[in-house]
Amino acid sequence: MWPEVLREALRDGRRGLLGWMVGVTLYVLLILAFYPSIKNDPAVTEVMQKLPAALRSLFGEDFSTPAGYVGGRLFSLMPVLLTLFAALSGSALIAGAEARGLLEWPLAQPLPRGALLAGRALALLVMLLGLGFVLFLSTWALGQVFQAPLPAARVLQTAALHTLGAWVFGALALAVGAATGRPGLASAVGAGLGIGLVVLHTLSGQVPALQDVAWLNPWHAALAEAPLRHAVGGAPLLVCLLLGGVWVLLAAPFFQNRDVGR
Amino acid sequence: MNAIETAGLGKRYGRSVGLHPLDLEVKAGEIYGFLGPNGAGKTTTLRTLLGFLRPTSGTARVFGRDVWRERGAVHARVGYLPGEVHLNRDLTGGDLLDRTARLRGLPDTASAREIAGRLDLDLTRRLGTLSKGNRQKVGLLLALMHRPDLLLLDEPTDGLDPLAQDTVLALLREARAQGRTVFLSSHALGEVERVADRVGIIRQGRLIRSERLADLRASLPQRLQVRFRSPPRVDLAALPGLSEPSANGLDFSGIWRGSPDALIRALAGETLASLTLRESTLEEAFLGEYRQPEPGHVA
Repeated sequence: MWPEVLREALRDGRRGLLGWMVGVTLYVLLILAFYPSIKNDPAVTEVMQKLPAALRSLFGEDFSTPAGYVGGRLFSLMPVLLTLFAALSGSALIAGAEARGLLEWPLAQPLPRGALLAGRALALLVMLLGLGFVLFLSTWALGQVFQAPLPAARVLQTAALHTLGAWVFGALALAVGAATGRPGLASAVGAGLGIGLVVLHTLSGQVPALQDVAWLNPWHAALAEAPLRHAVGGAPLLVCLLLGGVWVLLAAPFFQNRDVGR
Repeated sequence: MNAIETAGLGKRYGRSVGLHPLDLEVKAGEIYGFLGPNGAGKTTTLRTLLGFLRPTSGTARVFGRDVWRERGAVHARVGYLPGEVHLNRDLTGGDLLDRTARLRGLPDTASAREIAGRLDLDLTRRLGTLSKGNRQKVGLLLALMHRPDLLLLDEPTDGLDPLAQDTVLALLREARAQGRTVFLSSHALGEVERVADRVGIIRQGRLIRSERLADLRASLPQRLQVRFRSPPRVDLAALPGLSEPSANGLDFSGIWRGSPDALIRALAGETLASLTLRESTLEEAFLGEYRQPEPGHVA
């Protein structure tokens, strides 16, 4: 049952996903195209050194190396972009479809609601991984072109961590939407919490009080290490993957026992 | 076993009532017309029968299966047409047939394509480019294509041209001939009169009548018009079956209930210019039901 749901959801979502893939690639191109002119400009590094600590922790301090530039300029905004994609897609898959009346057809088939939820959650994960792979590929390949070569394994792991960090909040949006049937609430919770916690994670470098509770922040698991410079273990990836799965599992009984449709 | 059986089935939304406790029996192999104006609770009933809405009281069974707890088993035997057909506008009718076939494990979509031909529906066009009537036809195909034992149809001919309406009613009669059951929700009384074996009338969430169409018709008031040749000696208004008498010279009119026997006997001694006793349409009876402040009796 759920493989069929997965297949259909991917088919229906492919156009939107393609748009995001093109957008991410263009963004990567735009950022990396400036690297050759920036890396040899000492003035830029000087400006960076003068930035307040909070901004330095967001953008990094070192734009003269590929890892510093790609990490600070390119990946600093990725959690926000990926969270937006994940939360909007997640809320659309169940609650958004329901609000548009599109859940009546699948739910009138002999298809358990749990299978619908599972299939669409997997579709969200697959779409996110697809977008993450495009992020990896464009960053790595365009890095070669614009004098910012990075090891493929480092870029792949960085992209994966960002992608699975966003999955946590996309799955949250999907789960809230499935449990309540309210797409606005679902995308607000998913995107709001995801982006808010990115900001908190960035600030936690400067605020000691935040450091003590940093482990509560899913982005801490995904972004605490510097995967562009050195390999990090698989644990953060697994934590994010499972956390998203937990949201969906928690939502399942609510989805199965509530009124559906408009 | 009844196709549909509900016992005290009710649905409340917070404080407002969507459906008062409803006791309903639909026999296998019949066409049951479920009549009521918009907002009467027809759609709530259908959506509860499909397990979309959780009953707040009572139970509903379809072929003996609980519609909430055994949704999957119920859906396997049911074809559903919603009152408003919402389907992915980027897909073609053919895409949707294929998807439904896969979800239901059907070997092919041949029967659906045959019905599409009869309805003159182009399956290669995207739904976004189809008229409301043609989207309605796609919805009908999706309900009919797996030859379900029970069809739950919410206003099936809504938005269709008369030719397509005829085809749909013919399809429903064919389904009945094959022993399948049709639960037809409608406010279009004409179409229910043309196909239904039994009818239920729902008002403000309550089922106020449920009986055979023939019995319902027989119990309906008839409109009497008499023109006498000479001033009558009999006082028709005094007859027990007569109401709303109106005399105007030699013309007399009123509402007659029950067998015309007593009426004919009373008129036997008179000389008549003309006599008409016209059966009410279901429409008139139906509007009558709705005009009455309390669930009442026409007969």
